[in-house]
Amino acid sequence: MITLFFALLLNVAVATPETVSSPSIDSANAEFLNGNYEDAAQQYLEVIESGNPTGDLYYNMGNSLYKDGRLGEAIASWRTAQWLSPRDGDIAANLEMARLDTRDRLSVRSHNAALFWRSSVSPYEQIWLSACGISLLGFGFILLSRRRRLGYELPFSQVLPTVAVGVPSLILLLSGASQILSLDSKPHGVVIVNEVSVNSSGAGGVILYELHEGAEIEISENANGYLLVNVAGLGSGWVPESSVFIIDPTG
Amino acid sequence: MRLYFKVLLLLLVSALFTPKLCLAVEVQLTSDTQRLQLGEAMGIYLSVVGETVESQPVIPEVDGLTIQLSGHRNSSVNLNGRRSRTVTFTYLVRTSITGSITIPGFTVATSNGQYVSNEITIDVAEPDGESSGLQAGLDSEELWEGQTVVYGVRFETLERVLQWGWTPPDLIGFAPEQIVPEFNREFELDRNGERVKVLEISTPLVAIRSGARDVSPGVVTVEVSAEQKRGRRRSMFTQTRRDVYPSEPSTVSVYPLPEEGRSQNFSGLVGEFWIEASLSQASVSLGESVTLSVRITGNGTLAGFVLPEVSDELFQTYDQAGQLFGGVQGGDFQTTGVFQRAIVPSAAGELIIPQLVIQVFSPEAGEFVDVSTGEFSLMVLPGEQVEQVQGFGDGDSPSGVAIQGEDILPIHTEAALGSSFVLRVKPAVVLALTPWLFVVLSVLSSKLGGRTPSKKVAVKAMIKVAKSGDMMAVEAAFRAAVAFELGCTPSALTLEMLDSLPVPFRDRAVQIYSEITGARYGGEGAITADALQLASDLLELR
Repeated sequence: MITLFFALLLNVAVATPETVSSPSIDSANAEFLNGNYEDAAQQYLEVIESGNPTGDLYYNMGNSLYKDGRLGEAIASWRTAQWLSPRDGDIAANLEMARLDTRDRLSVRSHNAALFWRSSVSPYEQIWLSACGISLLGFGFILLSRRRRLGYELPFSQVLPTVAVGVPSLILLLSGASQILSLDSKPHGVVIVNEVSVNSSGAGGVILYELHEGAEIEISENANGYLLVNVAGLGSGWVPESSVFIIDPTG
Repeated sequence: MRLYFKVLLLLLVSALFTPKLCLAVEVQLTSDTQRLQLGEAMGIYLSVVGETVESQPVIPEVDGLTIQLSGHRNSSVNLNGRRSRTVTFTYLVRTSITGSITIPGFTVATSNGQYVSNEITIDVAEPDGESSGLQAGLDSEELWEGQTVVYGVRFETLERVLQWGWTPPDLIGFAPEQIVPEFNREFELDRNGERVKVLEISTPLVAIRSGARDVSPGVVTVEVSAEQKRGRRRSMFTQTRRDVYPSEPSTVSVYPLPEEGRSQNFSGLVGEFWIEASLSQASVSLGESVTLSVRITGNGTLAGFVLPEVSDELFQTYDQAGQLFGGVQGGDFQTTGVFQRAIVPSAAGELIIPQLVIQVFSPEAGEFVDVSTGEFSLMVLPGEQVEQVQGFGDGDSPSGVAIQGEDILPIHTEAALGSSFVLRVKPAVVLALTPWLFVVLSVLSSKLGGRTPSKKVAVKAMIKVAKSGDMMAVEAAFRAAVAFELGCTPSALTLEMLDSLPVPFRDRAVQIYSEITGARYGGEGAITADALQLASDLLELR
């Protein structure tokens, strides 16, 4: 059994590739520094689509898009970067600058104060921290059961570390999972066209209000090429799917 | 000094002086209403904040108006930790002519000098002969898409009003203006000796859809105190009556903005606007910034407006969020936006800051017009910042400005592909569940080995039976207990297998095993208790 366990751990460890640099990234960086922002953005996109993107790559792509005049896509890219690297101050600064350029100047919902860790720990990091905690609890359980079998009493004080590790692990697990699952259930998006009307029904209806490039919205539903979007203070309405870039850091 | 520290210093100084600014002297003249009928009297109020008034303000003389002081009151508030005193003088104004009349500013003598208030303009109309009723509607029947209008309500009554209510009409095709909220006010007028209660409501709206629109009636509901019949004993509760006053329905036409004359840089503003601009200083050292202040005033909404971008290699611009103000004056919507743009020259010499041209749509002219600022000349002196501007990009310098020439921060040149491992949930699940899988498998394994709780119960039962002293039962119970602990069958138990028992039990078990074997030939009484005790102890391990 122990052999099996260590085999699994070894498997996990071997499956962990080292962080690698790619010639394509250097090329994209060079294009950016030479002022070829459209080409730089395209190359960053290709690197990202090749798999395993980081917050840095999305950040650089956001910079390229912003310099290329694509404000909405830049904001979407920086939002993705922030999702992956929430502690990166450069991303937050650029995002804040870009929001000042938007015409709608919508207020963006910040993290709930009760979920304070979300502003500094990414959902994946939360899942991993939680996994480490749960794993640690499993080891603790095995060790304690062995000690009992050998006839030693379990000191009460050992219950406290168990709770101290278990409760935060559970909270981080639920928090990280809910953030990842919400990408499917209630994704966020950014308007990427100059102006779009938010209608009371999908193909037609009255115009409820207008949104402009860079407006950040929450998406409730996707039906027949139209998205039901919700904007704080303005309400819900339908916009064409083509006018919105849906933020999906996992995709 | 670096630009960075200068900005910090400026912010610090601003913060230090902010409380003082809040305590600045303010002399303001306000009125109950700006629409009167001939023969009516209304109240106007002169407020002096933050100063001690040394004498009564001088009442200006205005043809067609009689202004009389009717009293004053003092109050004080705690502002930024300091007490600020307010004196409010109340005047009764009575009209004797019709037309537009301006009440000039009042002069107030204070301990720190003289101040003059703002002026007020009122419109005086001929009396309409009605002493009560409702007037409601939009201030224009023909509009352009995007134009801002005011839906005004004025209700008058001679009754003693206990409570008002207003149900607005359905205004489809209009959206509330985002800067100026609905404004309502209740006051009293003196009309030929009668006291008239007035309710005024002003709602700024923006026409957002073209076409003919029907404006349904709005309804004012008033609860008034009813007269009690004479001769009856007075009730201790107020008798009330509810009256309902609907407004007249109306139709309004909203025209779409024409395509002719519309440029790509159309600002989206619809209304009559004018613009003023000023530069904070005429000369600046290279590397420092000057502020261009732009003030736009008009009768259309400014919500969402931003200054047009100016692209020039000789300077960079950084915009602050604009400050927007507005209100309804005399039934007309007015709004003002103050926008500030920091300009950082990038070369020494004379810099011409080009004019800002803003295309707006003028409803009065029915066409697009340009409003613009003038050009500004700025002398850029070679300064201490020259080297730093050219050398931005490393250390703690504000690299965002230098490397990209814009206000975003530079790219991360060390960016690399990440680990697929940490971006997946499955490995984390494996890590979390592996030790628990081990626990589950251990439990299953022990179950398959026969060490089940039911087995334990059976062994306990055997121990209980063996307490009768029957040597066969004692041996069976002992074997069952040891086998339970070792995970084997009782019949397979041998002396050598006892070495696998935990240390504290091993020697006792070996001894008892030997004695039980020997007791088949007598002497069983002595070992019965020991064997059963050991069996019980072994059971307690699980």
